[in-house]
Amino acid sequence: MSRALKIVFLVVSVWLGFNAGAQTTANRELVVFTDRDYCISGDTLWVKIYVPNELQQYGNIVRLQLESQTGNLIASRAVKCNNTHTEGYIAVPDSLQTGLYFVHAFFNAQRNNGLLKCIGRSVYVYNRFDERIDRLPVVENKTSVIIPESAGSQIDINLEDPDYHRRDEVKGNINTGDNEFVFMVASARIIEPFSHENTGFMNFGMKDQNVGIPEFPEKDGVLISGRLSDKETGDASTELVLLTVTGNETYFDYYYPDSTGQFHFFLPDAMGSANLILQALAEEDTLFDIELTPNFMSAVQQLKFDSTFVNPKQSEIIENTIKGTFFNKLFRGVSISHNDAFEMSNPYGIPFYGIPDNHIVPELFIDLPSFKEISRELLIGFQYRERKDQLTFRMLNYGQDRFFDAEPLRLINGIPVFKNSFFQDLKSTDIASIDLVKSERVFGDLRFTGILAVSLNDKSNSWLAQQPNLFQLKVPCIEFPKQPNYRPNAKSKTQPDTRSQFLNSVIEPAGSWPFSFQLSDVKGDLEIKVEAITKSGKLYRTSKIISVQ
Amino acid sequence: MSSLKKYTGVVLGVLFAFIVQAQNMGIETYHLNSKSNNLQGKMLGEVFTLNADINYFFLYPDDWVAGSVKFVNGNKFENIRLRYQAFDDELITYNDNGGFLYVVEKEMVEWFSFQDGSKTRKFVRLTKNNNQQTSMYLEELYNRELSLLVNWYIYEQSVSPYTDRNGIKRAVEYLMRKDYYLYTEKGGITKIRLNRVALFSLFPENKKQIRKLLRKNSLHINSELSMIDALGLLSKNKLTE
Repeated sequence: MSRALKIVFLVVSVWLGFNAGAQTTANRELVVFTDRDYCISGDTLWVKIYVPNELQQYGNIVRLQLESQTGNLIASRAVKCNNTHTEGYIAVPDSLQTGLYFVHAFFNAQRNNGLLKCIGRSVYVYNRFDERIDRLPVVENKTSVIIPESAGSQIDINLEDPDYHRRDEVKGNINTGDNEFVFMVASARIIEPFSHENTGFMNFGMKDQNVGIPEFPEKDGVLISGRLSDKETGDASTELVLLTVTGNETYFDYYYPDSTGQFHFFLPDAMGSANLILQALAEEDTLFDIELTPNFMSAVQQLKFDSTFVNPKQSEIIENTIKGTFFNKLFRGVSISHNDAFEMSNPYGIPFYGIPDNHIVPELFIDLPSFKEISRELLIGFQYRERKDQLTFRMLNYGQDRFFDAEPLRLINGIPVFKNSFFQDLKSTDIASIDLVKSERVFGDLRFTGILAVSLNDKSNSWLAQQPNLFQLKVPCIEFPKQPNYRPNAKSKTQPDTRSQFLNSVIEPAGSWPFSFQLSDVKGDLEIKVEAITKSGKLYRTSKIISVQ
Repeated sequence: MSSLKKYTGVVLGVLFAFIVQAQNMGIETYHLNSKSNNLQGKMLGEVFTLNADINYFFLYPDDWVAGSVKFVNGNKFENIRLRYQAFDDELITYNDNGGFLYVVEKEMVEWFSFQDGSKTRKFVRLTKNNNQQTSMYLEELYNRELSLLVNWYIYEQSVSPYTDRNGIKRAVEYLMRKDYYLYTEKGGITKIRLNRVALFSLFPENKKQIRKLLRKNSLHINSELSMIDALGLLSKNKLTE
């Protein structure tokens, strides 16, 4: 082979290799689609995320985030994905300042993948109390901005009528020809010119902001991380951390922190807002502090920003948009109501301490005035000893035919309790049931010398306040699936309708997809847009803009 | 008092104080380390005290072997030391961090497996639909739409008094036996003997074809292997439906 041929062969090989590499990278990125280019503070931003097959090894919980241009985490959600995509929403805080914000996503198991990449979106947020906006930030380095290729030849957007007026019904269909698309999103909204021009898809390189969170694949559950420290000195502590999640069924777990005091818990099938009770297990006179660590990957560090003037026309449209949103809220209410719903099934199917040897329901017996009386009359194999102001409990060890030398694990409403005095004043009318386990139980590496589990009629757990080193926290887990409501209000005929978003749906990449929606009272340019992605990660877009008179 | 004794006293004192503290908590935390943090889930069970009789007569295999346990909730625990206690039909494992033995919560186990010499033995937990819904561990010998399972059990038999190798007088012997079962998802478990009649009674409508098939393949069912071959043939010829 001649030298020239060898060089050509080498160059071709390198080029092919590079191309293959580029394609693989593109395949392995989450792609975020938003239903709008701007939000007014207090709005709900709806998001769809394309999940390539290659990423499904990382679990099925996608972490969706809204980040400010200064790198602050504004909001975060954990959403569960199906085979190809996931959907979620971000409630934009009412007090959020006007500016440029970024929506991106990642799998927790990706966090140590060197430079983690994601195709996210930039959106503008206009604070609803801003009276006049004349300058806005823009991204300076355009290399991060992805301009989708035109899909005009593959996707047709057909409308039944050429002209539309306010409150008209828009009908049409989206036809796709031969294409390589694997995921397509169709949306329709009234354009706000400044954000339409200055937002879009962005290539993010994301950096871990909380080193120490393990790259644990979250499958049907969420990872909760935190740090235990000495309250006085602030130094990391390595005492055992106990977790109890209250709900229909109580969940229990433990973690032995590392030298940095970091602890992590995985909450399987936890949907909604969890009520966590964390306890540090240590000597009574040492006080601890527990702080949860947000699972945050920052994407804006690579970006540079400039600011640009908003021309009077654009400013006026933004002002009208803010007013429109105000009216929309006034007449339609808030689309997402925050509630404290929480669901989590017991992953073990039985209590973590096993099937109890005795289950006592005091209601079935005569009323007893104290726990001392209850233990004497109803709790066979349980000793309640009072000596010199010292109250001790002992459980019978069935297998060995003798009492344990140590205290049993004591639980009230599933929460470990380390002071027997909490039980002292319990009357049988306070107690729903009592479980006794008369053997040495094992949970992971923990051993319990018998179990006394008291379930109270009152589940408010107000007694927790008296227990030291106990922290009660509300933590968002997997988001309950919710759908946006773009439809007009039933009473909208007599009320102003100021909706700007009309459509946002995932559509099949092949065939014809009919759509219809009713316009609102808002005038302006209506954009019906289809954004699509190919298997190799290439983004395409086609849109139709019509003027609503 | 020598300095060695002093230091020993101090160390013992500290340890005693620590143990007392841990005992007051109701949780023993002596040997915890980072390996104790299994985020995916924890093992559940009951501490097990091993005595010479159990160790000598009831446990299989003869020594602790590395194995895997899968729970019904999908959690899988690998490379743990375990043995099967055939007398009480329980799975015993050794906790390396805590240095204790425990009986794994039976209701949680889907299957467990371990290496027995060159052979991997897999035991599944099935529930016998008798009045008590008894859960039992059965070794899986063949697993398709029809499974061949074996129940290892140890029973006590009275014998003439004798002195065992430890010098203990005994009047009982412990003998290991195997019962065979066929399992289908629809029909549950059926106890069988290792012969062709078992197949005839299970599939009476295919009796003729099964007899013909076994004859054609010169297959005489009288062992685990020949039963596995027969089940393979039945499955191949779609006679198990």
